[in-house]
Amino acid sequence: MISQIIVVFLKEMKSILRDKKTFLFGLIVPFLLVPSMLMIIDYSMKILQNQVVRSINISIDNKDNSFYNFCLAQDNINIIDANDTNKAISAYVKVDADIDQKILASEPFNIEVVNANSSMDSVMSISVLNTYIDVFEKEIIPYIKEKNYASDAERLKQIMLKLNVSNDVNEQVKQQVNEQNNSIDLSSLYFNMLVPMMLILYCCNGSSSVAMDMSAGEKERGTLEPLLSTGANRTSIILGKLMATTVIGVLSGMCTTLGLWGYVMISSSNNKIILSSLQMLSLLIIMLFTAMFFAAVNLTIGVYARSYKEAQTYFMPVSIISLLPTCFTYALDIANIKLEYMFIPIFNVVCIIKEIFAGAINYIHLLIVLISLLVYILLACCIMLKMFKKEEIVFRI
Amino acid sequence: MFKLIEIFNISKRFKNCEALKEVSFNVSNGEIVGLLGENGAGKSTLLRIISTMLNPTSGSAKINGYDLIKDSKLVRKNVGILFGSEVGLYERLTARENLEYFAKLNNMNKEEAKNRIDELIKEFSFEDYADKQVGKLSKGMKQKVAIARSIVHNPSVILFDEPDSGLDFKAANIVFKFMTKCKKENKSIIFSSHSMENIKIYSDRMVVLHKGEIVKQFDVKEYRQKYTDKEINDMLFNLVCGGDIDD
Ligand SMILES: Nc1ncnc2c1ncn2[C@@H]1O[C@H](COP(=O)(O)OP(=O)(O)OP(=O)(O)O)[C@@H](O)[C@H]1O
Ligand SMILES: [Mg+2]
Repeated sequence: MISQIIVVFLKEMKSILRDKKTFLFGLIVPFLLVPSMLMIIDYSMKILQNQVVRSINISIDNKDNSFYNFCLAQDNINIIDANDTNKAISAYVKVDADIDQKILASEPFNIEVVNANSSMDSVMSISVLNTYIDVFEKEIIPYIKEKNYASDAERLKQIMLKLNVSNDVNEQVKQQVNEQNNSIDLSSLYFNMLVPMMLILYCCNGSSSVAMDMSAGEKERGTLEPLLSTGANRTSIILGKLMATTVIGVLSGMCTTLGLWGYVMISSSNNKIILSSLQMLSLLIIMLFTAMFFAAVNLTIGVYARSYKEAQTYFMPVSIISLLPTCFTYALDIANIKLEYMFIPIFNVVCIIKEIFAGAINYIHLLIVLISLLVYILLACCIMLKMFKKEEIVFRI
Repeated sequence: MFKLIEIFNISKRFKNCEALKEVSFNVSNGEIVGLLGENGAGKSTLLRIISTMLNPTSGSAKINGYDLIKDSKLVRKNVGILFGSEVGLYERLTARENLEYFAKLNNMNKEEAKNRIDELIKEFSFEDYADKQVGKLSKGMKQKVAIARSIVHNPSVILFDEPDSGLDFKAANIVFKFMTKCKKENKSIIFSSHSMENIKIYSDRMVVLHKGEIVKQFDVKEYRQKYTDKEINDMLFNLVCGGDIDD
């Protein structure tokens, strides 16, 4: 029986490896996909941030006040006439006409920023502008009050220009902007959603086409009947196929994981996380089990379906459902992960992946997840075996 | 002469149809039986039951003395099947690898398998493309490989379901020549076909199925001596179509 399983397994592997498409889309693409996705996101964020630091275009409704003069003195701020349609404005600023009088009288005043549109550029410009306003309120207002400059707008303007405040302020703003950019936490998006999604997607999808091909595909091509009429029993046949499916699924999941790891190692991005060998090992083990689980599920689908096409139809919802937990858990803080979650398939995998990335693996959780996955794998195998032995299913018309 | 295939009262019910109703017949060694019947008559179902892929709802059968249900594994050892004309091959494996795979699954040892495969390659003269991937072969080439595959474990019973479908005259001839050869080797052969002519020419006995029942069974040689070709054809036409011919 064991030898028959191995015969089936080796034949399926040979057949799979001869198909360049499986090789390319099952192993090479997932290996490259996660790194390139992360690289593109990193790169585009950087471009955006640099642009904003370079200069922002704003429009101010009231001239001849200290805030207007302050902005005028900044190299990074271009004040543009609101009616000038040639230049793109990122933000509109509404300033009280009597802001200087209010400052001197220590009355509350109003500087309101309105974004021009909902583009990322506008959003980031406003964040930079707020930093300038911050500086204005903290550094310039005391200065104005002290010297009583506000009463003379023309003088203030000249002094602002002369005083070389602009350079100091620029430095200060740049620093603050940098700090802000660094704190924009993309890693949360990456590691809470995108990366778990990719990992699960590839554990699931990696084995789907081979699983369907060696089950429903065999029915379709008429090879199943000769196969079932050989001396090998059905249990050996399906177990050999399960092994081959699992190997491909696991390789696919591993390639995705290693691609991620490789990127994390070489990336200079500030969104990087450091994965220790132990974390990496935990991740690999969890991926191994997940891939095994999906291999069994995919093969079960393939055994049930009458044709490759039908199998694909069934596979679609499975693949979408398996991605849902990554969305549900996006906002879930790892401190709130409950023990019950560890029993829900896929959901538990996502939780563990989050713990791993957060560097807070709960080994009891890990153990429970592995055991419960094992139970689900065995369950899926039992269903698959039962189905493969049932003529109503194998010869369904 | 002994009976390699003995079928007693086999019935098969699917969810919503009775595919076979109390079918009984025997096939001796060195005998070719042709199955004739319209679409849905139950030919494939019968052959699937004999090759243990489906279980009969009731009835029993013995293949080479082994019980269909109790000794299904031994039955499979004695049965070679070809369902269709050039199917049952793995496209990405070479012809030789296909044969090796089925030899291994039938528990042949390496030496035995190698000799048998070389012999078959020679017999069906596909030395030239034995090591080419099957997906790249023509229909006729595949057909030869498919036949070789079905008998790689040297079964004593051969079941062919429409082995001549979609083949030209020359290719169909290869199948029937092969069946004649098996007959000489004292194997039992059951084949189904939609070609009345092929069955008349190549089978020793004809079994006519209609809606799951055997409506006629006769010795072909005897009938051909007794009746004219037209008489036989008319009779078969009536049987196969159950008498309800529209025009
Ligand atoms: N797996 C199955 N499930 C349900 N019904 C089936 C199944 N296989 C066959 N049948 C039904 O059993 C009857 C006999 O089918 P079978 O395939 O044996 O006919 P056939 O004589 O081989 O026809 P054809 O000439 O079209 O190949 C048909 O009515 C068919 O619909
Ligand atoms: Mg048929």
